[in-house]
Amino acid sequence: MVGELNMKLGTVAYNNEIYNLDYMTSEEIKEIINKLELDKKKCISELKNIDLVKKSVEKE
Amino acid sequence: MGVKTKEKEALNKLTNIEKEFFVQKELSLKLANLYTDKKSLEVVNTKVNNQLNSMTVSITGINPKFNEKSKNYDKMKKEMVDILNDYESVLKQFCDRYDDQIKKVILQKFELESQLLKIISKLRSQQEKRIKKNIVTSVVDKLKRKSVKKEILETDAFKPPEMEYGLEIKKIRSKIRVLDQKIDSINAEKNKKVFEAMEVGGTGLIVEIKKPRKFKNVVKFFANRFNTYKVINQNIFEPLRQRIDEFKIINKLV
Repeated sequence: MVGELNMKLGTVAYNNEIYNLDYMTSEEIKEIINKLELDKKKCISELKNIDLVKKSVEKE
Repeated sequence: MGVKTKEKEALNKLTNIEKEFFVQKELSLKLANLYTDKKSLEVVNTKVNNQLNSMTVSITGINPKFNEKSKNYDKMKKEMVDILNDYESVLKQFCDRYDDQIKKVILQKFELESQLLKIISKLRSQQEKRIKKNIVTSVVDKLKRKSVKKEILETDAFKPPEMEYGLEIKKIRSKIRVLDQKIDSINAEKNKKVFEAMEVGGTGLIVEIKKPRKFKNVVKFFANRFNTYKVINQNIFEPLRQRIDEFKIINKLV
């Protein structure tokens, strides 16, 4: 039918949850992407914390 | 907490970060690509549905009694589906142009994130080496512990690897931020351009219906008397076909 095309996107497992992308809107997918971006930022900022650990090691 | 425990803890953290970052970067690449496709599909579907609705309304406006039992109805329906398919394929091609651009930027971002991951891996391997070195030196020279400690401090601890890579990580992060903004701007432009594509202009989708003059004020009664299919073709299909062709020429689409 015209204007009702669908796309098989499958599922994605992330953060102990399974997301079926075919039943999600693009905005909902965008939300997961935003969450992922936040997690990546956290990962990088954790590196700084390790740096702090190193500094405390140096003092000892 | 002892020095060794803290060193090991740092190693564990680095290993976890490496694993997490790897999963996140792969997943976000996949999702970003899927999001781009899905967004285009939604925009195209909305446009096609709007077009279909406006055509249906216009046809009812021309002849409210025109239905499945009417003459030429099947012919009209087939033509309508053909035009809408053409309309849809043109829109898809138009979207693909923007999607290709977006996907290139997504790949660039993925490459930058791979560089970040390489740095994390380097940090992890350096940390492993440092721990091994500490163990070896402590076993070999237990009695000269103080001097060994001093040596370690001079070689490693005063130059923590994170400090070396800190600036590089910052640079990569800022490049990624720029790419993120680029993706958003291309997406916004795509949405805008696709919604503007093949529209009539300020008047929306209203078409001026050209009916035979003498029937103009007695449409209801004479609705079945004139050739509805011809009027629909003249007033709805032809202008849309023209708009599609013009759009194809302007944007060099097939």
